[in-house]
Amino acid sequence: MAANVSLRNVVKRFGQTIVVNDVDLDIRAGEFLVLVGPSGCGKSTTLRLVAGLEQVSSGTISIDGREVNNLAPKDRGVAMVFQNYALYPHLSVRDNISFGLRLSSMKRADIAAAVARAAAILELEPLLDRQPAELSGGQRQRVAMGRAIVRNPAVFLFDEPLSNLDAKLRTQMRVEIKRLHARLGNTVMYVTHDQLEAMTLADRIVVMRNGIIEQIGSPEQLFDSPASAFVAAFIGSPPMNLIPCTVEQSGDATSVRLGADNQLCLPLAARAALIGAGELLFGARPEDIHLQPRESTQPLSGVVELVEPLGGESLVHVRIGGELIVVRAEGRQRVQSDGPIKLHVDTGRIYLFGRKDDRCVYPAPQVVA
Amino acid sequence: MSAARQSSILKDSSLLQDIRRDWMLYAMLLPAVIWFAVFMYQPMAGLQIAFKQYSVFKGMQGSPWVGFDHFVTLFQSDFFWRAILNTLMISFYSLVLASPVPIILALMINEVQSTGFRKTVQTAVYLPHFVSFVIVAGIVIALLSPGNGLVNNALEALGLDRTYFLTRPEWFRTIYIGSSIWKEAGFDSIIYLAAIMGINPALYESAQIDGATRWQMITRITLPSILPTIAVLFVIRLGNVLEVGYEYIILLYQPTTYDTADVISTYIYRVGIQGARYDIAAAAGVFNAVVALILVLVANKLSRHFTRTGVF
Amino acid sequence: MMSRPIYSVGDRWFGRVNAILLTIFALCALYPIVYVTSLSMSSGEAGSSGQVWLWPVEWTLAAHQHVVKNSLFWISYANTFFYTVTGTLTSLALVIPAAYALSKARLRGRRVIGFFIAFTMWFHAGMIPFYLNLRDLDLLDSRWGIVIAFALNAFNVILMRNFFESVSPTFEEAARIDGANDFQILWKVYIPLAKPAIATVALLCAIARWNGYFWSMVLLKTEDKIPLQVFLKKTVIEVNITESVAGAISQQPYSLETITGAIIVLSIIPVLIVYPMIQKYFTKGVTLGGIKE
Repeated sequence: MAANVSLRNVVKRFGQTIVVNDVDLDIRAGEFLVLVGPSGCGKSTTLRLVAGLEQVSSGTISIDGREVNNLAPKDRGVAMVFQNYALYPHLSVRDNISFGLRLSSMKRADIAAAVARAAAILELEPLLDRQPAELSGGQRQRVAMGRAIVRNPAVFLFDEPLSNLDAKLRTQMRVEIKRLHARLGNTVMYVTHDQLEAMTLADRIVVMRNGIIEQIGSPEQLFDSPASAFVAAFIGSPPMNLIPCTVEQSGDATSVRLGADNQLCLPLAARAALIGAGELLFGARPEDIHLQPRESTQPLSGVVELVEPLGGESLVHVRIGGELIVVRAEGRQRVQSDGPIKLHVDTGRIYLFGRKDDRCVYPAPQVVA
Repeated sequence: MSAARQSSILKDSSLLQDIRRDWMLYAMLLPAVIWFAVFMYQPMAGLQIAFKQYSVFKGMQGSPWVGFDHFVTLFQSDFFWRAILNTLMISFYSLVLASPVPIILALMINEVQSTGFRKTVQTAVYLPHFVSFVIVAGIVIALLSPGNGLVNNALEALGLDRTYFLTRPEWFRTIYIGSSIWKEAGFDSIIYLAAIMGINPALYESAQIDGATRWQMITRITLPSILPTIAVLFVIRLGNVLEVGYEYIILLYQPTTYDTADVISTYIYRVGIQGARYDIAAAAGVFNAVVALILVLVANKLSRHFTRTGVF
Repeated sequence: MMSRPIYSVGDRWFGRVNAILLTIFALCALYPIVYVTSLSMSSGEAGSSGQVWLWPVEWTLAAHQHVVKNSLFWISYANTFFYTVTGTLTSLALVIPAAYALSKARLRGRRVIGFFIAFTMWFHAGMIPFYLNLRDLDLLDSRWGIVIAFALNAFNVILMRNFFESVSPTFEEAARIDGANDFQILWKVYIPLAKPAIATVALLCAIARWNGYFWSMVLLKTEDKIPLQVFLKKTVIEVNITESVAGAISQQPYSLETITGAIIVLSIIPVLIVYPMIQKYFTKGVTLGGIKE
């Protein structure tokens, strides 16, 4: 069972503050949609609006084509997993999972069957008679999911479900959530501030900022074609290097100047997009900048400030002009701190963003359906 | 979720919608609101008899207004002035003599290292709090009994005269405050202990490395750290100077000790409940309540000042 | 607990002196109760001649037996149980739902109602109007008057509300998504969560009921309605202060003193039994009510 969810011109105000500002969003049945953004961007509120824990100030929310604005949470066919799990501490795992079913005057045998099914899916059988206090963080997380599954919801809502777990468990649970979605096929709305979770889990990602949807797209689309410097900086780790630059055009050639010493010629394709452009933000991902210029025609020169060896690779912090950029260097390259260095930038993979409006001006933004 | 966030809902929907949605919450609140209206606010309307010549036959509404006559009567009465003075004296002595005891006790308990000993001491000193005033008074009377009480036996053994302490006005405050300390000092230390528990242990560890003695740690770390708590509680007590333990005083005092023992509340009790002069007693009550309210408001302001800016 | 620090010689002496003083204080706290107990178990002769100071002299339970035969003592005991149990239950039934509702930010007029309740802590009409109000309500000399008229106080409501406010709102949200309404959320989720706070409030109410005497003395006139504390006051305080009955019971294995002791001991026993179990809740109550206001 899965349902589509649609938000039309949804606005949520808290007093004077607009937390969700005119959001339009369509979630396809069975889709895994991740809402991501910095804290306070409105992602959790959006989720809570769909859950029915908050009421919209204006606009409509529909689930499976039915408007749910005035429906109580229980009548919306949604289930939710909370950041702190909200397991009832006085109830056993079994009673936690069956809490909602017991309220709905379902038959005992049916409840037992539903609990058994959920427990089997999440491998919770040995834990059913324990109290929440006796469970580890990962187990609590699974019980919280069991409580959601058992209601057989059309839409699953996850509110930062992994942020209370340590790094290792988080990776493990991420895989488990992904597997669960593959198996159950429900629609999922998932809120996180962790771009890695968003990238690995999502069919589509919604990046939010200040109550507005900044960009919607598949993880690859967001990574390859960020609509703004904000998205570019948010998706990817370490984040994209963003440094101020000036566009210079002389004859056919278009180039960007980075600080006093460095200039980079852009491909011809850039020309049309950059006519009349002046001050921009230059963006290049750490993996698209290389330490050893292979016959680079136009190396950038800088000074190594710091090297962070990560084992298989190193992060090299290089100062170019007044700005610091990060370069991901594969293998164990020996780089001298404080020494001068030449860098090669893959000009096929660079980005330029407006300095004021943040929008991507090059490469020309793709129109995403 | 912050309160500001939740309260915003108010602006999004109408009052009627909200009440329909949350009617169960209002239903939960209703009995208590009715209770407060009937048992706390309705008597406030009854304060009007302080300004009336109350007669049982005419009832509260039918009795004629007399303005401030009862207040004039009160302020011309030596007994009322005596009650005010006694109230203030008992409060003052309690403030000075009784309120430091729980602080000292808390500091001492905090210095105990052994958990078992600490628990035992706490259990012992908290216990008197749970003994009723009637029993405390009973024990006090037994201990001070002129014929065979322990105290008089001891005095006699020391070659001193037996004294019927409970009939002697000069002893009343001592007996009252002493037995109040016995009853409440231990229990009152809980709040100071809680404040001490909140002190960052790293302060003590660094002081230890700096070579501080335990006494220095008490005077330089513990005491200054709980000073805000001490200040706030002191101010609250200042605001409550008119609230003396009249239920306890009634058990201990007798006509011969009224000179020092009769406080405003016991005066009201005797004139009003025992003497059935409701109007005069209510006037005394009005005076008491208004002054108490002013004191509490001032104290609240002061305590807010202390909690916000600290005392240092 | 931290591990025991290493102390200098001076600090160790400090600790010893502290321990000795605290032991003395603890003994002072216990002594009057021990004394009364010993007094009650001594012979009448020993009791009235002042020989008892620590242990019972001429051990006997005669005074206790005499008190136990008094039917009024048992009636007042039973009354106290009644007032304590029904009074505490009534208090909880009023306090818990009200405090829960007040803890919810979505409640309209929450601040106004909160003030309406808290104001009674700062200003109350006083003894006489309160008494006259009860008289007008026909609650004088009435058992249920005692139960209901003292069922609530602002402090308990605020204490309970503070606790409910400290509970994470996600419990309510999870229950709401599970389909629970406000009554169900309170009953099935918040009340079990609030057990420690409820125990604290229940004990505050119960102890106040068990130990309170003043209003029972003022309001109850019929002898078979009075609670234990009023009975105690009549027998222990009033008799002693006038000392009018002294000597009337000579030639008996008990005396006025030992009888007094026995009444006190017998009435304090329930408190002594539950005290060790409830101690921790009181500590919690003091801090819960004290932190916020």
